[in-house]
Amino acid sequence: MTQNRQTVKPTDIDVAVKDPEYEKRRKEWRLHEINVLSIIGVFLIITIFMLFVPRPTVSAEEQRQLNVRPKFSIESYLDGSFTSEFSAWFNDTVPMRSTWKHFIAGFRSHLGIPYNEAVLHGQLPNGDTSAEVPTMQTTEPTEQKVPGGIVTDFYHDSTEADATEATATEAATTEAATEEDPEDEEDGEITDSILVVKNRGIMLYGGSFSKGEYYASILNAYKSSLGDVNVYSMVAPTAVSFYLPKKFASASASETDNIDHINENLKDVTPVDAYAALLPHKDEDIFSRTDHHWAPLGAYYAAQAFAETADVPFADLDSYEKVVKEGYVGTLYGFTNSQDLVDHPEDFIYYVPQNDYTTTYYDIDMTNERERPLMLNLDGVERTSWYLVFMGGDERITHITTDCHNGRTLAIIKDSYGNALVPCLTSSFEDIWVIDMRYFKPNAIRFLKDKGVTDLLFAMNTFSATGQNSSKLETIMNQ
Amino acid sequence: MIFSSLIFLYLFLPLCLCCYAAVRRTKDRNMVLILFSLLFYAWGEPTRIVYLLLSAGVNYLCGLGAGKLGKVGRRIALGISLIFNLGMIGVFKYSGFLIENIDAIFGTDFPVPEIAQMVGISFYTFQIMSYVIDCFWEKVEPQKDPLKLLLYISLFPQLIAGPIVRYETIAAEIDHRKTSISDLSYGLSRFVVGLAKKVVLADQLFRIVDDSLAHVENLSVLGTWYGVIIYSLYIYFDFSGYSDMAIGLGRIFGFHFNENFNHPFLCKDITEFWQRWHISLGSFFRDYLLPLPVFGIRNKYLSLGLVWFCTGIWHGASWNYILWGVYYGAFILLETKLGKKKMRKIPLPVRHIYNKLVIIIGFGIFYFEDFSQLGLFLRNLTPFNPNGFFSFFEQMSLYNNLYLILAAILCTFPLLELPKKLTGKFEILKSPVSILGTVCCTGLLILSSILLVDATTKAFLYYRF
Repeated sequence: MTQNRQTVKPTDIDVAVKDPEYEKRRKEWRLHEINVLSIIGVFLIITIFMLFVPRPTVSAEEQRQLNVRPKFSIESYLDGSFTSEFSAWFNDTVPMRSTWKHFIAGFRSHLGIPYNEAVLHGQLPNGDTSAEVPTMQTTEPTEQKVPGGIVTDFYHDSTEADATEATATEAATTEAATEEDPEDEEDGEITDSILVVKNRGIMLYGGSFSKGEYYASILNAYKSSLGDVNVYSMVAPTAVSFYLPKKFASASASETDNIDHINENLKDVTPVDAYAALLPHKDEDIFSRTDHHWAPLGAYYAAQAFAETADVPFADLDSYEKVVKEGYVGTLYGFTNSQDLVDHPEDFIYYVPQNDYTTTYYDIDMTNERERPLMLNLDGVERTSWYLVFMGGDERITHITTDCHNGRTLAIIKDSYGNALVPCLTSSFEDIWVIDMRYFKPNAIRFLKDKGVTDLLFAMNTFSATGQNSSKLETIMNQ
Repeated sequence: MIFSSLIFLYLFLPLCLCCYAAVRRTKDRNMVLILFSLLFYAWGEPTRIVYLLLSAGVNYLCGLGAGKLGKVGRRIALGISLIFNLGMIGVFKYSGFLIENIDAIFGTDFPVPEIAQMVGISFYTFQIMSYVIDCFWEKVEPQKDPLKLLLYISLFPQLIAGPIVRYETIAAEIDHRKTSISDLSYGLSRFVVGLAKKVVLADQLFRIVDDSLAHVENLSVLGTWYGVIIYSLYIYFDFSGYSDMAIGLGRIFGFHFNENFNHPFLCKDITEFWQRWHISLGSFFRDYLLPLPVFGIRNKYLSLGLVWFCTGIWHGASWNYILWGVYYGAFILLETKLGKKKMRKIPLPVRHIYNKLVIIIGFGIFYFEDFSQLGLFLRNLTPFNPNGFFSFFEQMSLYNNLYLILAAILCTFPLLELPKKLTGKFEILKSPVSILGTVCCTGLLILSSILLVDATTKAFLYYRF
């Protein structure tokens, strides 16, 4: 038999090898081989990608600095911080992170179908939701040491365009990670209630009459402490009051009811009806579709209502320089990861006052005085952060001296909604002080008296007024 | 370190596989696996790896004693092992709970120790206990090589979240094993399927759970049912996904672990549910706890009570887990009392409705460690819910996640059996079905990897047990 095999022709060998069982096994082996090589191949490609492609350090969409690779030490290893930070760094800084995030947004948008053209991100507000989103608020650039040890003031005007784009981006995304107020952790609640409908993100409002009463009582206390100073309250409505489709009305509390309730509880504090000022302009771009703030145009109409209430001059919109930035995708994308939002950017249109004024900035403890432009140069600033154009953000005290000589000094105590009001009032008051109650360090009453304030405007949105931010008004009054 | 993390998938695992493939002898491969397993554990527990090593050392000696010594010596060795292992679990997992309850019951003021639970302690301690008991019962030959026993205890695929692998299952493979191409192929595919279950299904479902059950006080009747049904699906894909990954990894290295899940939601009654859910835990209690006399009395009801009490408390040091275990024990007792014949007489749809209701409400009990929240949950399932029968939320959420939920429900069925049956009948389909499987696996691996970029990924639920 063996001899026969040794002498048979090659064709006979083929016939002999074509044993069905052997063929079946060989086929199976090949199929297994294909499977193994394919899966290991994908593993290999992704491993090479993960290990050798440069890793990002910041995330523009999420407005934060990504985790940093920790340095090894025996202590950090033994306390577990090295391994946890290393894992966090490895997972957080995946090459091309924003591309994958965009893909994830697309994937999630296909997990179901819109309900009446809307997608809900998170749960419904529970009736006490509030605060103005500080964990994800538009972060601001600051003076900071950049790699290389050069101190660069990111907050520059067009003549100081020496800061590189990279520096700008880095600055614009650093602060949220480093300057977070521990209490702001709570503010993440707001991310749990966003409806995306017709390419517009709408924060659903919980509302709270009791917190509104508390807010009013603090404003009343300011008025009592300040005597003759004119005190105004402008509680700004948000997009939910104008663009929430009727069929979803039950998903949100009424902002106007809450604002009215606050106003009913004010004593000697003059309310400014921002809602009434905005309503006739509902069809204009008064609110951003992709950001939780109002648009500069909306702030202009609200400021007009305030100027009328305070009986001060007010500049016509035509007197401003209109600047249009295309491709704006604001903070709500970071919250929702909604493909609808990121795929439908909008124009960010702002107005630069043309009268004469000087803007001086201080740190939140009134130190480090420096003169800078009122409006931030947005060149190199990531598109999610364009709302920073007003004074560069919140974490500073701003003083504006204008060419309006009416002897009126205005102080604005505000959240970031108030920022957009400031350029609209440079023709209305001689001096304007802008402070953010979330960061302000001095005693507010003493500060306002020292500065000879004649008019005090509280300007913030409903989420702040009926949320935890209102308690910060009390804090700065007593600190 | 968890399996569904990029650092495990694309740093630890490739390194481990390269080193493993670089050596040929089983002895050397065992060393590679021991080193990587210790690295794996030390990554999460940098200092407390000492306890793992201590446990291996003590139980190695106890195993030898329980298997080789005389009658008294064997009992002493077994006793030492049980005291040591139960003591370890007691200190690291239950001491705080125990003191809290003593303080609450007796009005004492003992300080509650703040001892963080060790990752995977319940799993590896149970494994090592089963080994020593099996040595005592002479079911297995005691392992003479301490490194081999260390490999059994620390083997990273099943170290931190099971399945609880018996020593007898892999004893022979520790000494002699071979990974064939079909093992490798099966292991890789199974691992990827498990990863996808966790990342593509469980993590996405968890987003709904986070929006619903986490705010149970606001949920309507339908919203509460919706939330807990989604949670039931989530926990299944989370845990069975992990088990799939563990079994797949084991196969890649040539180990054949037993199955831990067998499509539990297809069960016809609660008894069957526990034959299909976390099989390795159920069989552990069945084999090692059920035969024990309780308070010196051999009584099947007392034993049943003990088993379900232990099943509950094994899951966590909280009363809701105990309640969860006892709750299942009660239904199993009821089914035992009724008997198989009477159970079978109940129409199948009724049996399915009955067991699904029990299972789903059971997972609600499992979810809420806080009893006041649990109370709200139970109330909100009923018409006494003050938030109404239904709300806009569950309607929106259901629409917005419709495909995900349908896919999840579909995946509770044995879908992967279909290709096997198909190719069994039609040989010609073998190649296209296999190639399709490969395409699906590579696609799922890529998709899962991308989804892992999102920082919201949750650790495995069973990681903490």
